[in-house]
Amino acid sequence: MKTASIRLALFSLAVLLFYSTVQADTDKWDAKRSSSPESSEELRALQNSITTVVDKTMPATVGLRVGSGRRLGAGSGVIVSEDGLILTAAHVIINSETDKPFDPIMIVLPDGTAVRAKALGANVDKDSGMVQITGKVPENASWPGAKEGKWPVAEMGKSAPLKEGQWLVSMGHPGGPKPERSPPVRVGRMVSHLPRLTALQTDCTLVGGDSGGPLFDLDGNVVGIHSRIGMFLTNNLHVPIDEFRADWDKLKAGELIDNTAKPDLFLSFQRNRDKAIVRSVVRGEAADKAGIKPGDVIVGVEDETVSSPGDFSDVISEYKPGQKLTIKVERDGKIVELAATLGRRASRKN
Amino acid sequence: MSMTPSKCLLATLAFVVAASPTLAADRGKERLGKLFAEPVSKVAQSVVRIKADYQFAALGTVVSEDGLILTKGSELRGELTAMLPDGTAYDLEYVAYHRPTDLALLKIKGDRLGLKPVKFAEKSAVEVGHWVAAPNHRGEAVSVGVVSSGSRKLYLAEAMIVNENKGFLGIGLDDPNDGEGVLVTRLLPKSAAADAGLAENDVICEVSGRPISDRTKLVEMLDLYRPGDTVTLRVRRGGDELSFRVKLGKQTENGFDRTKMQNSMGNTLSGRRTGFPAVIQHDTFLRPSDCGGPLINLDGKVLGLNIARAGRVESWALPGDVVKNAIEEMESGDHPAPGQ
Repeated sequence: MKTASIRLALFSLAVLLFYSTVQADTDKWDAKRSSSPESSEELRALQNSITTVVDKTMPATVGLRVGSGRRLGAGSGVIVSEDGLILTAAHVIINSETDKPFDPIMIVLPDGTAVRAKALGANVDKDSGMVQITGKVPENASWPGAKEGKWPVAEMGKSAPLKEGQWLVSMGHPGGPKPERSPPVRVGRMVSHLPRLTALQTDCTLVGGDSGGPLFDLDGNVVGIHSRIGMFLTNNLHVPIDEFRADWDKLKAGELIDNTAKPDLFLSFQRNRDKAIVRSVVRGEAADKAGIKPGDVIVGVEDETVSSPGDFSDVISEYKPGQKLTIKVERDGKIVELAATLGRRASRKN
Repeated sequence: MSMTPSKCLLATLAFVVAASPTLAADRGKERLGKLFAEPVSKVAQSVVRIKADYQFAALGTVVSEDGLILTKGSELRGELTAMLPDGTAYDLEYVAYHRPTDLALLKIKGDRLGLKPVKFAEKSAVEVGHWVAAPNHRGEAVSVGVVSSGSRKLYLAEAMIVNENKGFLGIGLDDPNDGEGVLVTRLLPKSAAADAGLAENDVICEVSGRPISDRTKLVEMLDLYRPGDTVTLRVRRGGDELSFRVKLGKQTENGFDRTKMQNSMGNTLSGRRTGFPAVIQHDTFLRPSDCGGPLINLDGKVLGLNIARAGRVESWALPGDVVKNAIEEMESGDHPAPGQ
């Protein structure tokens, strides 16, 4: 009886093995799978899935050139409708000094061709933005539908169902569009949902210029738009695509949504409570740009007198980010008037 | 209840690891390295580790059976040794330096090394989105990523050779009114040149025995030295010829560079990361000391030679044709090693 039961066990295992080779289709990677590949065959399957997504979505991945002169900037975006609607990041298209959209905006297609576009709406709190191509499809364009004046598009997916560990493909134009370089592809995984920051975190690395570029799931659908980075290579944040849907009509109508930003000069004071003595200024931010220096004593804002750090905060809070103010400071015994443009501090993001 | 407390604890831990896919073991691309074992084994005899002054400086790519190695020149300094795949270590001879590619050609001082030169794949093997890995001398993948964009030329700022690892004199330069050499127009305070006693209007004619014909020559020459190295300058001052020993300094940061700040977040960039003839971009995370080795795909094909950690999102490899071209140019003898 003992032998028989061993034989039986062997037999059933053989069946199981056979069954599992039939079941595990190693040629195809499940787009929803959230674990690492376990074999080189699975790694190849994942690679096939990645290249399929790249081929399908790269034509719709674009660069943005905004502004002119000293305020020249670059970002990225993705075309989501055949008539040329582009999703991007708010901070790419909104000039933080004027609070108005940049104009003109030029779209750079993956082959380097540039076409004109205009900003539609943006949600500054979430960092979502929308742009409309106004130029025509180039005559030599070869994508399907080009002859009928249609743009290449990427489909929009859903961000809420994304699972931690799920594999993703990221594209954009790090450092701005560059000659002979198609939008560089990066591959990574979902790290987590960050609802408080209305963001997705992935380990698909991003850097300046990528902002506004698309994050795709392995079905080739846009699930996020690149927004900001943190100190580590795993701190890459994207605006969830669901947040674009939530504001869709407002964004399309050209509304600027900005509920939470507070005006800020980005400076700190010494502990002294009865005198507003500047301790430090944040490099490159409003106070620094205005020429305020550590050691300056702020004595007035516009026509109002300031005699303490508390006074200063009260006065500033009555203005809006982007407004221009005259700041009076006492420096070396003299009163100096400095022109400052208030910066914005997104209070909910601390 | 035969389970001892320690066994019980282990079991619980094992369960946690298995149940949580977000723990370090499975997060990111770390685990993919093991799946590259087979392709990495194809270049196992073709990668060495280069030590400079007893520190890991770079990886090296074997280009001949008798021990010629290519590596990243701007990471080298002082005494050079190679650690081979079999664990043995050898001294290295510096054969040639090719400034456009930053490739240094080194020769292992030894024979019967059991090394195998790499064979670079044809251009068409480079496909965007394909997995790539950077193998080391121990037959492991240092890191895994994907090809981000195919071979391209560099333009504008990216086309200019800047080497942050080079020795710095701290002077302003111009061509002299007459004769050869380089005119010193300005001395940065507390710079290496100022400390050594150089003065404005001095004309530098020689660096450590090598004649300096013009400004380009001086800049190229200093690329071969590192901060802390000492050079001897022959200088014309009025009618006199003077000699100065200068301990080279490090170039200090010039103001705030937002692009550089962002690109440096979470990683360290190579000191020389611009000015190459062409590059393949990939998102494999490399430390500067992981450059110099081959970049391979899942078939074990060698797509290029890793030459720089160029930014937060990018590592760069020199395409095979660029590397072959550089080897030919170095064999012509016009690209001497430092000190020759």
